[in-house]
Amino acid sequence: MSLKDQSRSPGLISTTALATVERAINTALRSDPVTADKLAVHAGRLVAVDVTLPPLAIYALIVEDGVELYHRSDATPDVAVKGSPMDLAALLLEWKTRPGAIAGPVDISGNRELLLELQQLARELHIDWGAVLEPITGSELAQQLDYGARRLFGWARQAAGRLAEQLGDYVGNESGLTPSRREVYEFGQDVDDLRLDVDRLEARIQRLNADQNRDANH
Amino acid sequence: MSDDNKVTHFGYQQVPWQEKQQKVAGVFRSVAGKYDVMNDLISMGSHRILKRMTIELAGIRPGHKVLDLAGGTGDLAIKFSRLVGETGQVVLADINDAMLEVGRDRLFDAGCSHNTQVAQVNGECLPFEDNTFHCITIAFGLRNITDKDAALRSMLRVLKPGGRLLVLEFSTPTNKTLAKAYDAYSFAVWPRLGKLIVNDADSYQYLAESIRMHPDQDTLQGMMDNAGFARTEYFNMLGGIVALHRGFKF
Repeated sequence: MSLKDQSRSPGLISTTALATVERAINTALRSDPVTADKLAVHAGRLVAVDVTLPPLAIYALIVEDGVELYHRSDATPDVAVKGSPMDLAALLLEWKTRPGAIAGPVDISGNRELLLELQQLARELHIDWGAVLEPITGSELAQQLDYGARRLFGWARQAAGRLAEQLGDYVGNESGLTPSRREVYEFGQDVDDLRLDVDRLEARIQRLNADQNRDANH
Repeated sequence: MSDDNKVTHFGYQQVPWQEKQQKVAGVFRSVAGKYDVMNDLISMGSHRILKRMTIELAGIRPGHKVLDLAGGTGDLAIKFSRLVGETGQVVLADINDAMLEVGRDRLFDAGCSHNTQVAQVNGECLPFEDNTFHCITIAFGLRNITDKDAALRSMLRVLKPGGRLLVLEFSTPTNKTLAKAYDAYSFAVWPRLGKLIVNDADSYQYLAESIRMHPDQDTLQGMMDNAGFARTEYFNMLGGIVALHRGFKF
């Protein structure tokens, strides 16, 4: 971390927001002990998430009873990912996406196996909303809320998938903002052809140079 | 003036220099059991956010040695224990045995006993070798130390070159309206909450008074400069109600 970064005042609102997210994740983990146990195996590992727009860094330290989130860290992360919020969400949740529509490139450095395991755990995380809400609402209402939440989140997940598909169709086919898969393929073919042509040309130049040198020596 | 005749402040009272330590000890013995609950109530939970911001500026890495001075119930030490990892070490230090007892139990319960130590120390004369720690934090503790200049010099001595001190402490609001509202809230509400929760209004009256007697942001930065810290700076939080001072040893 640069000295300039170190002198930046930590923001109260962003720190509060991060604390809220951390609390939500840890509450979810407490209600899903199986996933929590699987995550605890990685205690001590540090994951860096670098969001490009808006610029935001989040460091997730895995601890025995959940995760701790920070905006800055001087430690070297075990794995670092960098991308836009939508790209990162698509990577984490494995949204069904179309090339160039939502899931763009995400830079990954470090321990990719760890990232894959964490992705899997994020997808498996089963939030027992009943257990979370029971101390507040009592068991009857908690069960109803849990049922409602499942339906809501199931719908939200499907809606996100549909949105990704529709947006992909629009961006890819109708707006012309991004090339289609076929166009990308054809462009790739053209690049390959050009590369082969350049290779052949280079070989021809080398051969001519060699001939010229031989003639000069005679 | 000889030490016998020196006086200092204990809240708004003037007390003999040697007595302040005993009086402060009495305050914390009285509230130790419910210290965290009271902190949550009087700060409306904001002390947790302020401590998170302190941790972020501490720059702690695996393998570091950290001293959490006046660490009381250990909430910072638990976080540090996880950040320094297996190869690092955290010392939770406090002058008050009752607070340390609560802190030691919490460290143990949090599974942090493998890389933490608990020490009852006087901040004015730290019993550690020179150049021991990468980072020292003192959160809401410097205010209660009688000889703050001696404490700052002692902290500088035990810091490694390149190490940093972070002082999180109540300070002076930067806005007059906020200052008035804050005065009204702290003098009217805190002692009543103290009476209600720990049956001790006086300790929280002391808290409100001691904050007003504590040096403001610039004065404390000057004290850190005088003690020998380099690149000192401070960050106002909650409009200056709390300030985080940071200085390095070079």
